[in-house]
Amino acid sequence: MNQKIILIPFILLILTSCKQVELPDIEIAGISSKDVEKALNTGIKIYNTAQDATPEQEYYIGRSVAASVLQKYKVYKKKDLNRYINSVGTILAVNSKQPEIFGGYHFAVLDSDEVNAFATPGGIIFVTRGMLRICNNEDELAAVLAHEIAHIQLKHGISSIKDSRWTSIATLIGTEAVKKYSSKELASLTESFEDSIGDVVNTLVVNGYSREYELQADEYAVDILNKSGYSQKAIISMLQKMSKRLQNDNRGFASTHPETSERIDALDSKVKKVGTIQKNRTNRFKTYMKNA
Amino acid sequence: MNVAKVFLAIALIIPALLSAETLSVQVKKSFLRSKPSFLGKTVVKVVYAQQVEKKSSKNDWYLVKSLKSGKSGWIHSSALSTKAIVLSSSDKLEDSSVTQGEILMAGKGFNKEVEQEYKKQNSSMNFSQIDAIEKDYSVSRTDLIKFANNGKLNI
Repeated sequence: MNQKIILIPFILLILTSCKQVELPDIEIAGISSKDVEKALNTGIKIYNTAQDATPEQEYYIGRSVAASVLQKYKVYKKKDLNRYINSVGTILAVNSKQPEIFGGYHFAVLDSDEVNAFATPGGIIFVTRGMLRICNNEDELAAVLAHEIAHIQLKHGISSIKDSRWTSIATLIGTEAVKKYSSKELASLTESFEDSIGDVVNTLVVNGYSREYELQADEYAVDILNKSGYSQKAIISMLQKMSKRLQNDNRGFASTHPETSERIDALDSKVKKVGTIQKNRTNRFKTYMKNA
Repeated sequence: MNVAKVFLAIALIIPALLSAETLSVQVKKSFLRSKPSFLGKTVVKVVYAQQVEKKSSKNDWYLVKSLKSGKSGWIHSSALSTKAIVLSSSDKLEDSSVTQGEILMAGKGFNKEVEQEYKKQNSSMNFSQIDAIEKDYSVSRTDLIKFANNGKLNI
């Protein structure tokens, strides 16, 4: 009997359960069961999180998440300041792996003394006046925005939507061609939509991301800063400021889960090309911050 | 002799035909540009679901021809999908060779209609602010180039 056949029950078990599954540590025909487990679990993880969220769906989820955030916070409507934040953010986005997303990247300042920043799945990124005030230069601001762009591109926000929402959407929309929804279908779809928005807002504004996601976003932010020409060191200096703050937070860039010291340690080996902070950047930053 | 020429022509044409790949624009709007960079001048606007034919690539940039306008230019690969995107059931795909599995139905699931319904039920939510964020603070290509040069940043 072909020895590989022995693996089939295990594979079936994993596929049918759709959960993280541990296999006994064995090796058959040169293939370790642990390798099979890793490959399959990774595949399943992608299936569970990315699901069928098209760029268009991510965009609409993001818009409503942003609207929910704005029920708690107000936009700080200084046009020059917001355009400046958008210039920094756009430079970072064009130097990232995914400069093009469905509705583009948009940045806005929130009129709040809290020290924070949030990214919605569709591409809208918020940064508070409190956060701007603790940045000393444009490179530090860029570090915060790069971390948020990283969350979007790594699909951290969208993956906080519970699997059950996607299951109900999939059942509802089926596989047939696009049609006009009946009022009953539209009501169910809107309910799933509302629940999905709730999942993302809860993660962004209440619970924060997991330790793993924060570390991933930090690491990717270093890469974006480097490609853009900003100093990578700025992310370390920002994290150091977070660690000195009295009030702990678990949301957005200010997340202290994991501890900021752990985030700094994790980046230490990755921050190689330090890059210099250009005077021009710091000067224009200070000019715009007079309005912040 | 002529036979040899025909064979040579076929040998040259076949790989070119095979390599012509049709891709779809997966973002609301973008532009084909004069060079493989956001520094490149915009040649023509492309919108969601429009199809382009890939001719060559350089890093993450594709040189493509818009099937709608016939114009060619560079576009970042993140704006494109290998799936054909159908806007409505009555749409005829320009590339009839795509199979069902490669088709992405635009507007399925969470879409503008669902957002409208959600808005109706949550009237306190200010979507006009979201529209303003998407529109009011955007930076033009020329301003962005100036901004990058002034700060010694890359585009």
